[in-house]
Amino acid sequence: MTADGKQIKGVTLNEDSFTVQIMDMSENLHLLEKDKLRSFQKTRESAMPKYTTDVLGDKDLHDVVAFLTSLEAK
Amino acid sequence: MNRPGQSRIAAAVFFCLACTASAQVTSERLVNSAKEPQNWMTYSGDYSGKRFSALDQINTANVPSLVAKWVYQLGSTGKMETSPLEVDGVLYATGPDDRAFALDARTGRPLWIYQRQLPGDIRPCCGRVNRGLAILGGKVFMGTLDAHVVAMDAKTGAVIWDVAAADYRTGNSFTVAPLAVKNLMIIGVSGGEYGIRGFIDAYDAATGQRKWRFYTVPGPGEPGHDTWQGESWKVGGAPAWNTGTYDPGSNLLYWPTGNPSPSNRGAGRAGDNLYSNCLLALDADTGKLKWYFQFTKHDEHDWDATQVPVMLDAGDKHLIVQANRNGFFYVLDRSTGKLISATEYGKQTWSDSKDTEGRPIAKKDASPTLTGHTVCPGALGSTNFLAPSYSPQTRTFYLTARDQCDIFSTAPQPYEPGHAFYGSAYFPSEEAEPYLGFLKGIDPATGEIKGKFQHTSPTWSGVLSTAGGLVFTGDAEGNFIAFDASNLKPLWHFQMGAAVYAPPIAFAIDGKEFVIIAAGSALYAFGLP
Repeated sequence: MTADGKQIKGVTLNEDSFTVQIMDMSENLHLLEKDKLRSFQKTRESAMPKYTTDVLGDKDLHDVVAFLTSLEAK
Repeated sequence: MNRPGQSRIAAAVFFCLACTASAQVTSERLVNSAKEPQNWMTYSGDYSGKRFSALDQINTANVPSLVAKWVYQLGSTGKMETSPLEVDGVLYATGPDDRAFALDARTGRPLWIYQRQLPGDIRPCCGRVNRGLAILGGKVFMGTLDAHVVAMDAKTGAVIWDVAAADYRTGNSFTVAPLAVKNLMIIGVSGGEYGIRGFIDAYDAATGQRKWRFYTVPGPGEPGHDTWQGESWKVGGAPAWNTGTYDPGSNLLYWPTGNPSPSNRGAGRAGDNLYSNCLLALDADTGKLKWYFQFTKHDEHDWDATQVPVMLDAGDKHLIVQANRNGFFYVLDRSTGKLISATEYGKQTWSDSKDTEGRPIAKKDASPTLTGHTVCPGALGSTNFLAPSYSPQTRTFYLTARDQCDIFSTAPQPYEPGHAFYGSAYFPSEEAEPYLGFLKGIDPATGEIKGKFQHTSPTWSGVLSTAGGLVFTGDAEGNFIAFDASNLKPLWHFQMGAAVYAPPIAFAIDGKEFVIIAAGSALYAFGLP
């Protein structure tokens, strides 16, 4: 959360004790100084959407796996 | 050896008569180093191990304006663990692969470089590193990865003597900064992961003749030999790879020792395994043992006790303290070696009781197992070789600390000369994720943690405190950071672009204070604008 209340969510590209570099969900870069943020939180939860059978049924899943295994190394 | 810019240096002599540098460091100067805080003449800055600078020009008020004054690039790869020396305007330091060099400390311009030609089959356990030089008279001294001790002319880098101390092919090496005491050069061996028989040596600084050797694993007939099962003493380890301290009043050297071998397997070496993981008090003239204190008996977790022991005086009490790799902060009477207190300063699970002397003792289930067993701290320890600091101003002991647990497993391993001899493997434990790194301040009187700063990740940097009310350290992300010593709040930082594995030092030239630290393969100097 920035000082003006803007929430930025994304993937940490790098971080040290004083700065953090984030790519948000829209692939925008944010280069931030921690002492100028209102708050900063990290989570170990993946940003990838959760897989459920509603998202991908059995047939679609098999198709994806078949496609991936058909690929050859280049 | 070569001399960069030799012709320019020669010409400059005519224009620089006011800045002559004297490298004659007498043993009296080393004993009285407090009288010349502008110089940094031993590994820890003085014999007491405090790594405290009495300089206060850079202080809490002006440190935010600190700037880089120069950078010296080695042009090599590998870690720099060096703690430089500075004497009368000349800075002496080391780099990876046994490179030694001297710089104009005001500008970082090189005066000479010594690059050792190492055999191709050396066996350093933990990187081709070196932690620094010693200086005495007109010479600087270095231990090498092929287990030699080398004396060089401090003005030119020319080798004056070069002595083989042990066989590098069986895993002996030197990574430690030697300590100059009287006319002797004291040095301890590395190789606890190779089944060496550890030792501490003293060499005549003038000639290179060895004056005494103290084997840290006693041989047959010597006291302590019965703490080893069968023939295990022959490959017992107990290296001495970090610089000790010296009390001129008692003429005692205080030198710490490392793990028994194999490092993570106790089967086959039943007993306390003296003098592994000890603090030794040795007569500096003879190497005779006056007392010892063993921090971790029969160690099976690679918890070398090689952290710098720091001498403190509290009233009429003459103490020596150590933040040990096993997670406890120990206070001893340095006249007798008697334990005064042992206090937890980091996450540990290996001990839940103490013996009658107050020494933490291991739980039965703390030993490594065939399938693996989680123990805290991990093999890297709650701290490691990272030099600590004690500020008489704040009466606080500052150190780099780590909270990490490992899964320790063990299996039989036959000894083969020159091969790694762990008797085990250890793995990071996910139970303890993420690993945490701290700068901590401990009150030695109580063992209480007075303050701490949590780094983004654990760091391998040492610590310096100064009379300017500051504590300096580096981090794994490449920052060099100045803290308010009273509360460990960061006041300034500079991004150096590479992780830090070295401790800072401070000195002054022409009344201007400098603070120096190595990061990556470069030395950085900072001062006021």
